[in-house]
Amino acid sequence: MKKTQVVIIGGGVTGAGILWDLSLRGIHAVLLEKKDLANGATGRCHGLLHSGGRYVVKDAEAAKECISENLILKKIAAPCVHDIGGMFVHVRGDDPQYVEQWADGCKRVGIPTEELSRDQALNLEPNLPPDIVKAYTCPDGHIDVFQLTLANIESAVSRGAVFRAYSEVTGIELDGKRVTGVRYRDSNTGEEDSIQCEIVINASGGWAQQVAAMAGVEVPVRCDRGALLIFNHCLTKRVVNRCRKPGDADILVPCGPVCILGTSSVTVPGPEGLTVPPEEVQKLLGLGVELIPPLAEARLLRIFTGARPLYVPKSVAGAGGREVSRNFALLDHESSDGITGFMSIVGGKLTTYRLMGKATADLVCQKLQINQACITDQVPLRDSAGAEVLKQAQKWMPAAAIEKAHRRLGSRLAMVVGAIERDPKLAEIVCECELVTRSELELVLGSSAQVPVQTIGDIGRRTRLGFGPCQGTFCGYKAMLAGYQNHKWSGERASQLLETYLDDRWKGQAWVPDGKQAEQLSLSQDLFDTSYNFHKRSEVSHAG
Amino acid sequence: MRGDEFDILVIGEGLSGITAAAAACQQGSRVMLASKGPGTFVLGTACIDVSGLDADASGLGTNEVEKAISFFLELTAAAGCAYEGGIEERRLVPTVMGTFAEVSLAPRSLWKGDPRGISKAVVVGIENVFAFDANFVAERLSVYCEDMGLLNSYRGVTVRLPQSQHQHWLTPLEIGSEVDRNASFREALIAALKPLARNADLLILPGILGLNSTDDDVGELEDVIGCAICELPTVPPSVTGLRLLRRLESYLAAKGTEICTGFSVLKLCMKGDQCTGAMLETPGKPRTIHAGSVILASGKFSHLLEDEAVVNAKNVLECGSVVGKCEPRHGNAVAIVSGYQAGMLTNQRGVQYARQ
Repeated sequence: MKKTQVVIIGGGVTGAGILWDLSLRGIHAVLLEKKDLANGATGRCHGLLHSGGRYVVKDAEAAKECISENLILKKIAAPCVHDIGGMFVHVRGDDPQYVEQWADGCKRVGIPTEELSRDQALNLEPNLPPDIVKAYTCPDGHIDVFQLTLANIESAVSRGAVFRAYSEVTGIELDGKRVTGVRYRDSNTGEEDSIQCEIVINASGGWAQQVAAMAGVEVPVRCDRGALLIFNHCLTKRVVNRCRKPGDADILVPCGPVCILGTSSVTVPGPEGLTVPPEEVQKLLGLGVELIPPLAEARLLRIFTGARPLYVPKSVAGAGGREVSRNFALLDHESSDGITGFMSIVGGKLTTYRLMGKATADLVCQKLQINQACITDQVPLRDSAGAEVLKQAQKWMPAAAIEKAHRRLGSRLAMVVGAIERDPKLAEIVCECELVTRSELELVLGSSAQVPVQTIGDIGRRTRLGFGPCQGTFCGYKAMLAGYQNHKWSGERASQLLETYLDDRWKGQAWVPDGKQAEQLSLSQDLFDTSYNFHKRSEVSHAG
Repeated sequence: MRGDEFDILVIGEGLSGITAAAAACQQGSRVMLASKGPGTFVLGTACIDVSGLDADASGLGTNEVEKAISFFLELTAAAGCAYEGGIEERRLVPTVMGTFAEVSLAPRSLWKGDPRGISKAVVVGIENVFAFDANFVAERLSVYCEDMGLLNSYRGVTVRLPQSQHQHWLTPLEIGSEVDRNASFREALIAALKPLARNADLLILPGILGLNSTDDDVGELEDVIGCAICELPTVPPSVTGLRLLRRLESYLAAKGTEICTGFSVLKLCMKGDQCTGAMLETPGKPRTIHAGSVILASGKFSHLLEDEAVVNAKNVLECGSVVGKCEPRHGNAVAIVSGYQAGMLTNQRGVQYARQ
């Protein structure tokens, strides 16, 4: 039986942010995640760092939070944020009145924008439709969600916090009406264990209802599914938003070598087993082409979907997915349900994750009677590597690979480059699309990794391996062999992991209607199924 | 222009296109084989599974299956890249994933890997060639053999071969190329394999034994080290596949087929309901090929299939994955049979531009 002060349930960016905040306040905490970090909504979103523009007309409060957090994150999480800026475009035919309301709203809330004429906008973003009316700039950005979550967890771990992946909470222990701990199951070994604690924080997003039910508490969270399309091209330099009442497929976010179009809004019963019907893909594509016409010719890499966990108090229970506020709510179950030591943090969005962490940690401090202020807006999440290291890296790695690895690793780039210095074969580029070196692969597989990996997909979340056009067909195989050679996995385990990994990679590609990626998928399946008799393809259904 | 006039134009040089070209060429037609790249040879293992193939459902005559397969066996033997097996055969071949795939025909060097004829095998890896792991393959093959009640032992060994100082990791393609060009590298390979062969009845290697080697070369190597060898096609690009293609290409070229590789087909030219040939995307200006018949073996993803007039043209025949649907495991069998049929059919149209 282990003991700590606080147990956080859910390894999304919210849980990670809470872990980091608590660690800075000197509070001992353990984060339990049933799969790997960023497995839920965090890893299945645009990765948009909102300027607040999207909410400015309908929800000024949310917009204010966004712009203030936007500026903080650009400062404290610089390596995880691409400060590319954004644009709101008035597409011909869209309501001009909304555009005016939008511009006024930005002024009121304090979001810096600049009006652009049609020609100015087209000059900045030539792939916009040539007949747009006008556009506005805004300080949107792109967040690498995996790196942001990882950076929070790594920083917390280096201050003594504990992160346990693949540990599914099976029960919340109560002594009368007081929380005394949680039980969890190691999903690899099936072994059960428990941790004693004073406070349990439910930060499990779409799973919040299930988790709360373990303490006999109801939380009103609704899962709202959105589908996103990843294209293998970077068609714009900045985030492009369609300036109209928020709807489907009106945001395109460039993320390094790819861009992501989304999204949709469909109420679903829960966060798992989500599928995307072909009609929805066609609809999103059609709308995307209205905003960025060259998307019609772009190679669609894969389609993914996740569920926004919306906080829907009874008063607004009748509202549609887009009408529900994106504000978060911190539910103190002691005051609302009489359960001492239990709280749920629900709703909210990626951009405000730090604020959610702050509010939660504030309440924890109050409960534990600890007088420590939040300083997450002051402390950078990741240190940069020194100029020396970057120079040394140039000897071994392509410039683009250095930039990417530096963002992912910060000062730990020195370890990757140092290992290559000692053994030059580690300079091999294992994932050619995302330029991941064997050295970085070894680092995340090795025992010195602060947040260890257990599957090939976990490697992808640390390094972006397998995120490019081959979708893991070649680099997933190489990563499997690397894990085997490292004695991390037995031959049997390595084979199982590759099967699971391929299933996941094939699934998102199978939803792609046609084009080059269908060819790529056919290659992957013909290889591993027919040629190697390794892994049978299963028909992926749209309707599911 | 005589140089651009052919009886038959075959587009695509996968298994199907190669077989079609060979069948067309053997009866005296002037044949051009045009392709954008090396086809599926470099991707898969080129093993063929005929068992359970429903010839009627795939639009193939049963009689033709037998004829086509024996034609293919003769073709590959004559080209120096012999296949083993036949329609009735079932054989297990090991793969780089450490599994066994059941096949009817396979290139000779793969055929020897059936676990039922051996007892002690050594899987040989090469240091710094990361696309293959000998221990992984040995460990997995042992498990599968145990499941089948076989007592085979597979041992993984990784050997060190001389390599350039400036090259820290190698691909199977680079090793294959060294085997072709560098006599001292071949000596070193033999020296590394000999001691392993002493205590084994089969050496399993990643596909590395040369891009240009023939069956005789591999046979000689077996004689020198005194042990049978089985190669495993690595993840693409596979040396064994490329070797097959090169052998077949040289053979076809020697028989008078003109081979034009590296250029896409811009479009097929139509006149009425006849296809008169194709425009190839050659540098400078497109090259126009005139042909009496066209065989489309360009794969199911070919853009050429989008033109309905082409697909419906009387003198255009399709073969390979372009035709109908079949179980994925039968893809190569259908490729060969439909390629053979297309090659034979076009010949019936008569020879206008006979080879000199």
